[in-house]
Amino acid sequence: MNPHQKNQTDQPSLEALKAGDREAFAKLVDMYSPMIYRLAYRMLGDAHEAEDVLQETFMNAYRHLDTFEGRSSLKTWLYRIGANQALMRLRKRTPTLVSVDEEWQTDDGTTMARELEDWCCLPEDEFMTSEVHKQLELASSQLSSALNAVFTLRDLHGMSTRETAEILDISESAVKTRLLRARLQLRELLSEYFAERVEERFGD
Amino acid sequence: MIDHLKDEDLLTLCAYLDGEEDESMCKAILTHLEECPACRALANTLMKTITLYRETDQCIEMSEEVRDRLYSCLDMEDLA
Repeated sequence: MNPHQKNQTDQPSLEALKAGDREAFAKLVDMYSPMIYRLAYRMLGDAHEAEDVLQETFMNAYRHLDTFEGRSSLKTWLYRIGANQALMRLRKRTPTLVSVDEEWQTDDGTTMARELEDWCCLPEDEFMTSEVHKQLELASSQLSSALNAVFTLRDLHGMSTRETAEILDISESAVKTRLLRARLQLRELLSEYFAERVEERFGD
Repeated sequence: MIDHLKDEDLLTLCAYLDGEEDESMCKAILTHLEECPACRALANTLMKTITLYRETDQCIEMSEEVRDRLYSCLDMEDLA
């Protein structure tokens, strides 16, 4: 059995955690550290920084458990700490030049010029290459940190709209619109690449 | 009857595909998708984009070393 997966089914009791039970905290670490690591890695695109965020998240959680009031779940609370740590690092990297809620619609209400090749017709092996992995990373690195955070939480970590709003401290309607914009931007960026693959495979 | 999908339609469609809306809310959108290849391509590739990211995200694994260093910085090596 993968040691990362031990103790993953039963969450430690809040009483034990608040009482400083080290074994209970270790259970919490085993349950959520792989998720927090994936979250940080996806938000930062860097393994070393993801590890730093992972450590900061659990050190902060350990220090502040006594102030945890249980209004959200422990999982949401840990995600909130992790996402904030990652966002703080991103803010230090580059200043945000574009407002995350800036409209980018055209007059007829459609969102920017869309590539409308249906590249889903490509055979599955076309999607499994390391080049495709690179394209996916390249595309997500072009999202603003605000859009990337929502996309990662909602689409990759399966958080609900409400949980995502809670973790990022934004409204539920902001989660919905940012998620759509993230998905559309990623689709558009990938479509340029995949339209070429379609042309190569099926073009004259 | 609707023209090509606008952002508000896509929001409704995504909510339906995410299981947050029932089918009755986006009947007109689904009918339009059956009739319009361009919007169908948009919807198909939008969903495929999400699927591709989900698949690659599962490849990101926390190594044993990362876990050990986490336990070490928490002063919990004895429980690792």
